[in-house]
Amino acid sequence: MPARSHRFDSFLGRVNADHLKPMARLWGGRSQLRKDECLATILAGLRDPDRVRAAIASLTPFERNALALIKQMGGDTDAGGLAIALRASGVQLPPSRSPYYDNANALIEPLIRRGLLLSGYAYDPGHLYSSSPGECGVFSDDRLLEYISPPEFRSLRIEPTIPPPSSHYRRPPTVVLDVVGLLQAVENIGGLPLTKSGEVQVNAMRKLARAMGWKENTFKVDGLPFPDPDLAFVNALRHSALLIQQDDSLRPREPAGQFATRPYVEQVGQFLYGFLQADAWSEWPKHPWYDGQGKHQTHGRFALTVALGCLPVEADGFFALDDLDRALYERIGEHFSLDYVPSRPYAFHKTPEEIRKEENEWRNKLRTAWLKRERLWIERALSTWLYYLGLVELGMENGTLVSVRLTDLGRAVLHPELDITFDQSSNGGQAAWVVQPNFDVIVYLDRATPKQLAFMERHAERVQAQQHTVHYRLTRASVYRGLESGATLDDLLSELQNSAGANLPQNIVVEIREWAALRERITLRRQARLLEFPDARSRQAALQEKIQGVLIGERFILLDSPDAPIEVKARVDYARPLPTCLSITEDGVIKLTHAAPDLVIEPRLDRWAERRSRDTWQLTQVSVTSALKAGARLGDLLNLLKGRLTRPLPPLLEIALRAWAGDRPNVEMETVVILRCDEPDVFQAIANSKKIKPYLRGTLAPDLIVVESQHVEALKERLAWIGLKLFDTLLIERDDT
Amino acid sequence: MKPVHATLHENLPVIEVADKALLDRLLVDDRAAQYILLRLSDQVAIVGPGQFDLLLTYLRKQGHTPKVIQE
Repeated sequence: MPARSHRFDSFLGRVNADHLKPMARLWGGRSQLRKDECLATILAGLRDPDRVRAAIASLTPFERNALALIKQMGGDTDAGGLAIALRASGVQLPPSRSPYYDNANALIEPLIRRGLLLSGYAYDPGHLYSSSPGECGVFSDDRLLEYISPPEFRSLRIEPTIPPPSSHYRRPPTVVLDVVGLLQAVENIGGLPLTKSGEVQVNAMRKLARAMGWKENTFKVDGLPFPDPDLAFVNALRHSALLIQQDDSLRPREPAGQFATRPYVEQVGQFLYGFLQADAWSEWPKHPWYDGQGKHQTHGRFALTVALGCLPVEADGFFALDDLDRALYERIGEHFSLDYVPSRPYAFHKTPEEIRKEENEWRNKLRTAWLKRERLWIERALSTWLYYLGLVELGMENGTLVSVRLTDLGRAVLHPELDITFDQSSNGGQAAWVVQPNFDVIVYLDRATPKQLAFMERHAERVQAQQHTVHYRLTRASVYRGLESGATLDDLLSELQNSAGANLPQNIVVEIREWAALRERITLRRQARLLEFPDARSRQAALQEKIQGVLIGERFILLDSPDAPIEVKARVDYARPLPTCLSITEDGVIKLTHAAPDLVIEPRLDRWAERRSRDTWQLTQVSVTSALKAGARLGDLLNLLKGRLTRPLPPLLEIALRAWAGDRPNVEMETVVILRCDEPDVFQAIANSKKIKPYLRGTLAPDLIVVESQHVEALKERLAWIGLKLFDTLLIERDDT
Repeated sequence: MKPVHATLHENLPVIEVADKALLDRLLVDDRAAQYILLRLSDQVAIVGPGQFDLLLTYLRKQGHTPKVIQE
């Protein structure tokens, strides 16, 4: 079950007072209570485990089943899905107020009024959305769910059929191998980065598909096509909370190796309930018009899973797909469609005979539509996620799915009350795998524990998986990945050997040791702690104080411990912004205003500028372009300057830096003759004169005209004829601001 | 413990190599040298803060299998 926490406390205050009164009755509240008294009564009841148990004992089987189903879904689901799952469970439903009444309204609102559920409707959690009640989320309180038993599945009235000629069946270790492999792949590629809208980035999906060996948009599980596996699995893993969001990426909630040690039922059960809610994925490419959000499909999956839980558990045989389909249709067919359920005919002003006739026609229409759509979808659902998860065994005849039965794993997941357990801890002392001299490892699925499978997924490349064996290959990259995930060389060799039950081939040991030694040639420390001393003597003196670390050069000690407390003269934390310590002039002279305590400012400036003295650098076109040629980016320089300058970068210098990097803005310059006249009437008369126009090049501003240089003398004569006073120079006021 | 007369550099990305020649080679490789800021000794150098992952990816692409210590 996904780990989500649900409490009514912060929601009840927003419930309309009229709706709170009936909710309080479950906890002994009287109808005259005020709103605050209702709230206090409900919360006091929820806080007291004895009263919770008593309240649950007073529920009807329908109410208990609703809580049991929502508990299976992790404590929340949407109203339409819960309603249809309740119908599929076969439990006695409360009498309907009207056959025309909506599914969710008819079945779920009474549960809300009873105080067992609240809705996700922000304005009034005591109500479902009025526009689309079926898609409104509902949840229960964890304190109620804690004491709820598994759901009651009323057996479908169907009999086992003859055994099929052949069947497909996935053994639990194979299923778990795939789930662990999936989580390991997400771990190996460093998580799945999300877009701003919260979707997994397309590139990350491609990376995962490559890592898993999924080609194009489908992959086959034992020959059965599984469409869009990347979308399906990421969606299901996310909904099952096996992947959670950390730092803008989806990552496994726990390491794959740790997940592998959980019981099969828990691993598969959690993933199953993720599939039930995976609304972004579809079993087939047909997207029904009325199910834009994919909700109908999730409701259908919930109902089908419940129907499988309703297969008679005492019978061990297969059940004909036709029988399962008909039985499920009988329970939900009038209330559910992947697309749209046509309205029941109205009985108003009609004779009983007319009503019967119209209802028969309506039912025939429903069944015909169901057989064309839902029936085919059921086959797809059985042969994709339900088969992948190892919950069903598929009876096949001439390549067609004809019958189905629950596997032991399916019974264990859907019927926890049967207490079916799997031995996952031992392999009877038999070797789990054989390591061959050519680096191939053959893993026997019936002997390997999930922990051993997780080990192999972490340290070797999976080549091929078959029904009983999995073929892996040890490679330099896979061993490196395993060691990087935290294993030691000795752990790796001893686990390989112990699980093989024999000595490893000598060449394998030698090669793996060599690969591990290669890893020791370069060490990258992400967050080292380095002590810098003024000189070798002071470092020597400090060593007397028992500082633990590796001596680096003459003045440094690389500290061993990442968090040992130490009192020092100064600290520089490179995870935080470094202090401002630079000044710069418009012509690119950079000066250290005071001695920078960090070790990175000087080498960085050396990359971009010519050093002129101990504390002065000069940015030049040559220095900047040679840094760029060596692979640096101008953005790095601008960030460095903006982060470390005590005053803003002069805009003209920034333009120069960008120009040196190739981003050259255009400017135009020419020697011209300007005529200025600050009297608008005179200016307009000159500018618009037909006689003068040939002498002019154009207007520059409301009082400035550019004169054609070859006509300057002619224009002067003309202006003198008019009688204007002509000055030879422009009076320009300097702007010194 | 009395205060040490030194500067403590914290969260500083560092590269260490097993032999001097390897760091020599990395520093004449234009791309790797972009990420390595300051050589402190024959075998140790400072990586530009913010460039750790770029260096790691580059080294892996070049066929190296560096050991990564997160703390």
